Amino acid sequence: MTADMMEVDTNGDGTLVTKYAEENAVESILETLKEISRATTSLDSRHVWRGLKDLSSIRKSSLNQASLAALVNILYPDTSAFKDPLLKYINDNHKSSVPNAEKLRSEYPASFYKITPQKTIEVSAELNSFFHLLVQLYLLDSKKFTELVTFNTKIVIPTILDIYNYRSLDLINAKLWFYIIMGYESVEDIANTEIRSTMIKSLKTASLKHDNETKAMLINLILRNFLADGDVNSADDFVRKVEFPTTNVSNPLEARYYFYLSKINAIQLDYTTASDFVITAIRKAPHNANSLGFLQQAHKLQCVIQLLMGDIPELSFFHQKDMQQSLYPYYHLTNTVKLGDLKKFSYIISRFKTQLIHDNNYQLCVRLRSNVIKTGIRMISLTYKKISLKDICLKLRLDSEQAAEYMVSRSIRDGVIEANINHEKGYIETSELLNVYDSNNPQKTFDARMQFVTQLHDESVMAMRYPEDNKKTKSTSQNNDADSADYLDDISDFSDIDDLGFL
Amino acid sequence: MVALGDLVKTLNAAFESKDYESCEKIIPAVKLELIKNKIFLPDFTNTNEQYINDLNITKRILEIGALTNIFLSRNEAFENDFTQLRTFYFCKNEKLANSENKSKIICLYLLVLRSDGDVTKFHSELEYLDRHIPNLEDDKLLSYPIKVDRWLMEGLYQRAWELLDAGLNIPEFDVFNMTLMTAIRDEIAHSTEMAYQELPLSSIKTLLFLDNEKDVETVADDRGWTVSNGIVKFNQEDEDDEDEDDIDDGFENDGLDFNKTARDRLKVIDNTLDYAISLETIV
Repeated sequence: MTADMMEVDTNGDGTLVTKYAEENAVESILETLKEISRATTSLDSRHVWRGLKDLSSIRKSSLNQASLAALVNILYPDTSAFKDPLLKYINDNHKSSVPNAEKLRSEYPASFYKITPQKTIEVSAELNSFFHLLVQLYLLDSKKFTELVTFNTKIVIPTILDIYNYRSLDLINAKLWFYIIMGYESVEDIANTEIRSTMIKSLKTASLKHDNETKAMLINLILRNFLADGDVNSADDFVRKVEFPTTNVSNPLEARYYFYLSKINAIQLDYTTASDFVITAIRKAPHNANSLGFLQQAHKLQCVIQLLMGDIPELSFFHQKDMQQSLYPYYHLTNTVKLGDLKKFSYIISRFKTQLIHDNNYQLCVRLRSNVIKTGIRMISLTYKKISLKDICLKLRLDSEQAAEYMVSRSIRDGVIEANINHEKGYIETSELLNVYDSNNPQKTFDARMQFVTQLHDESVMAMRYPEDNKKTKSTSQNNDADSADYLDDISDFSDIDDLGFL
Repeated sequence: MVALGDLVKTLNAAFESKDYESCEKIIPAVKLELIKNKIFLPDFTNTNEQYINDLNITKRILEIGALTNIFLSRNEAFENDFTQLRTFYFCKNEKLANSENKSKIICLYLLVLRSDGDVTKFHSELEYLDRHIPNLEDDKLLSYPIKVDRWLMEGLYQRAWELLDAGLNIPEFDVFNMTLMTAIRDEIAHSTEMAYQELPLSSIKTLLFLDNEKDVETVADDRGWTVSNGIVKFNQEDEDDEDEDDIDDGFENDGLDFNKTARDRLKVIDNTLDYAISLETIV
């Protein structure tokens, strides 16, 4: 009943139905707040996990101006320094207040609040941070991007991120940072150097505090910033200097990190490493509807890297679910590389140029030109045992026999074909191919694979969680289930940004 | 400030008269003065017009320094200069970012990287430029190093050579062409020794774009090719040996076949035992 009254005030002429809906909204947010406030007393960050898990449902159903404003009015005491700024951003400077707020507030658990050194009552750090996260989401969802950026720079960074010093905030801080950058990207200010230096400063603090989630998030965001600026050298230097945390970091963050590493290595022509990283990224990333954007980008990169390494991706690679459309240009690219047709290649590159630039893969794709030629030469060398340079020249539509001779010698040097050139008579002769099964190579490959499999097994065994106390086996196993559920749900939320072109 | 003004004037005069030696001597002194006047490292938050003009002078001096280093073939010093110029070229202030020498110096930088064989840096830089300069490939100067790189990668040495031979009629590039041509020649020689078993001197001469057979012999000596009766033989056996070592997985090749197969067998047995043990632990 009390809740009804407050709704009347914030939404004066609302009908009965909306009143009810808003009451629900406020209540559901409150539930989450209670969960998070449990972390304040128990110092267990799992409660924060659980709270963040609700974020996506809150975001879908209850996050709107009225419910947020009402909640601020009730939750924050009038003496709170955060109240006015929050209301200002939520309400577009409109005043609003809720009667009986005092009374409602007194019904909330004590763990919602803490006493400041000045003997006033303030909302606890966890709740306050979480609430700012809600406001960020609200501003983002209602497309108030410029407000979001000012809210971040004026409120979130100086009064939340720089002030609070609790381990339990790690997870929330990571998210706050994420939406700070989202704010910048929404206003097309991706490669902002100022925010980069702020992030590097925060990274230092996060590393000192061992806030692994925040640290990982910041590393990713800084890398993203560098790459958006095209500053690959600095990004590479940065990667060498920092140590990406390996424990207490959610998989999506790791996946993203590996994706960026792969990109850096690919640009620096280290395709083998890049390929390893991109495969790890795809494996680590969650495979659900929300992570589709990330996966699409990762697959695009993987395709280009494979082509650059001289491999042709399987046809099924392009027919994966939800990938056909986005991989379309890459499918055509692969086709031309496979055929070794230079003319067609140039045509495809110019036709899809804007898309490739948009994917930030253009420079990588242009490099494929030499691969096209090499496949051309390779096809010829596989088909003929002996062929004159003139014929090669005609087949590949080259300017002169001399050009053909140079290109063939280059291919031999790169190990694309096994052949010898006879200069006087003007032909190339393919050397006898070695039978691989005469050598130890198959044995070695087999060994490497076996080792990989056993290592994977060992790692998975180590990664498993066991109940800490045998007496409580039953209850903990239930907890475990709940935890893994949290984990999955949180993943989906982390990657929801991909819908908005975060990559 | 007087000292700085005079220095800059002398520097300009020396540069105009192509007296690069003295330029090189003056530049450190000028840079020192710039630092004293706090206009060496730009502060982009300051938009005072006078300050911007001062920065433009700084940029001009850095450019002279960079070009001087090119004329004197001091690549490392040039790369340092470029790093400093980069902050100017890619800042948000239009007045500062634009310069008649911008394309030229970026292009030279790319060529320096390419001729040093620093492909990693070359491509990283390209990625950066692609983000900041629209229509990179349409710019006459900037497309030049890109084309050279592309043709070298593809093995179209002839076209790369022709491009260099034609030049761009810019003095700085001419100074540089010699270095690049040697780089190309190295690339060709490297490919050649892998692709042929033997070649007459005259053919190598054409392949390497050399003027006479005497030069061919010098190159052959450098790369350790054997010349007899006007025919060059390439030593491919060394490489084969290396390959075999690879297959042996680091074992010394003592030439005894029996030992080798015995060792192989042992290895297979060892591995299989290992797999068995791991399987055991899993099951």
